[in-house]
Amino acid sequence: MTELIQQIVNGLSLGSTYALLALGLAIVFSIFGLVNFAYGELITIAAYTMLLTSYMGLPWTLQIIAGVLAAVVGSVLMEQIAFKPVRNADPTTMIITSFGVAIAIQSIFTMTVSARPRAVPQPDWTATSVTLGGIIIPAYQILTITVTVVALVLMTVMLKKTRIGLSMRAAAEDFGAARLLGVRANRVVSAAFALSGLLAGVAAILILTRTGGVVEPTMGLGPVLKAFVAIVIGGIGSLSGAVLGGFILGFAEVALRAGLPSSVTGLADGVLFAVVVIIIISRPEGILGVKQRLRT
Amino acid sequence: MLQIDSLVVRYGGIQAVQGISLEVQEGELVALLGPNGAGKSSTLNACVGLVKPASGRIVFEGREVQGMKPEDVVRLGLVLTPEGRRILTGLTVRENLLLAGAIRKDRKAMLADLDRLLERFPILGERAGLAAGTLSGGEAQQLAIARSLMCAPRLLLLDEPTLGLAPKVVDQVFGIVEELRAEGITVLMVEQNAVRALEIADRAYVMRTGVIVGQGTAEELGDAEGLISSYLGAGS
Repeated sequence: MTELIQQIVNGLSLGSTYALLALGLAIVFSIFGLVNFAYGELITIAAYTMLLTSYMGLPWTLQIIAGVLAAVVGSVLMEQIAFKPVRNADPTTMIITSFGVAIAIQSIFTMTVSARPRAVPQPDWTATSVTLGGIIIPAYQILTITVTVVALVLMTVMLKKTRIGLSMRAAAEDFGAARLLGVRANRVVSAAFALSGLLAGVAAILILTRTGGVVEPTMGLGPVLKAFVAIVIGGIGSLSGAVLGGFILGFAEVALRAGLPSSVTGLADGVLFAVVVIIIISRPEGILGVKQRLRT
Repeated sequence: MLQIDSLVVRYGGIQAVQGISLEVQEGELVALLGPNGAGKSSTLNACVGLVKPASGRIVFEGREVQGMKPEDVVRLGLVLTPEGRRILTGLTVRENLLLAGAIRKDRKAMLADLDRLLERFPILGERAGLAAGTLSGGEAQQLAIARSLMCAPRLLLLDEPTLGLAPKVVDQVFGIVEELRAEGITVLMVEQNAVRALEIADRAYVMRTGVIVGQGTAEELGDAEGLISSYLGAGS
């Protein structure tokens, strides 16, 4: 029983991170129609900013604020510099552009810092844990779950209750109709990229507390793939689907790692991706996927 | 109020609008008639920036608007109720209206207008909190028009407001258009129901394959038969 609860907590924690990541990827897709594969590099940007500010001797709280800000600015600039010129181009052109941006950013960090991993010292408390009735909950998991819940609530309130949220929901459903009613295209697109960057930045903090602060140029690849899988599971374009997909993925991964014999745990990702292929074939619109985009 | 001069709209190699000129005076209700593919919708879409004209000028209250962004044109008071209504179905009825009203500077007046519109279109008042996707075709058209009114239009462009509606609902929509004119809103309406449109319009233009082939008042354009022959072309 404790073993099961332990695994549920693990699933919640991992799923939380995936949910945040998937939401950031889905929000840009719902408005801009682009699966931004350079999204992972926003995590990298946040992480390297934390590395830089830690070298500068800033305290951890300032490091994470700087990291999140860098991801937000990086995301908005990414759109302005790379995606705006291809806004009306073929979706394939946009996706290839996003791969190009990803490779360019990875290369910049490889050239200017190093191809080898570096470490951002994490506060001591992130490595501690709480024991509750025989269940050991690491502090980073508590942080991850709490931050995700807060982020999801704030995000829902923003989309439902604010003017920019209303504009974003409208633009996601019918960009042209929204513009006819005065919704400023540039503003909602920038807002979507800024939010996406914000979520990537927050996810970067959580990822670093889990890995003990390991930073390397290709660190964004794993997370963006997982986020992509999550939005495929949940239904591409649906925000609640992205969150659901993230949690399903997190639980599935934990279950596979716990359930598979130890000699084949390395295959867990392989099994997951196989399941995704089956989902794409049998239910291409995903679990909560609908023709209309961005249901909250 | 609106002058269109030698407007050309191209989609790829196809010239949908081939150098038309027309004008709408303040307070008028003008109909733009013609068969499918005549270039009527393309003309309206060019006015509000949904398509970029290949050449020609569109002047609204002294300002050239061709090539402007849709979100800027609507702020001038040139408002399109698009073909197919394009209701935002995932938003509530009230949210659709609030979104449109967001461009107004005077928020108090905007909210007062919102209340007035919800009274004027009682069905929208009843459904204010429901997803707009639950509305029927006629109700959705009322919402589409109400939404345009929330933008405080000086000139309202209506694209096929009765398309796909039941006859009784068509009457209702024509009634609304007449009311708008009575309130002093200038209207340029694209309509497939030529006979009904001519009954309420001050003047009409008739388009076919991208050019204007006739214009004038209902009397000048002749009876319905004359119009139909003009639609179908000589000899058919």
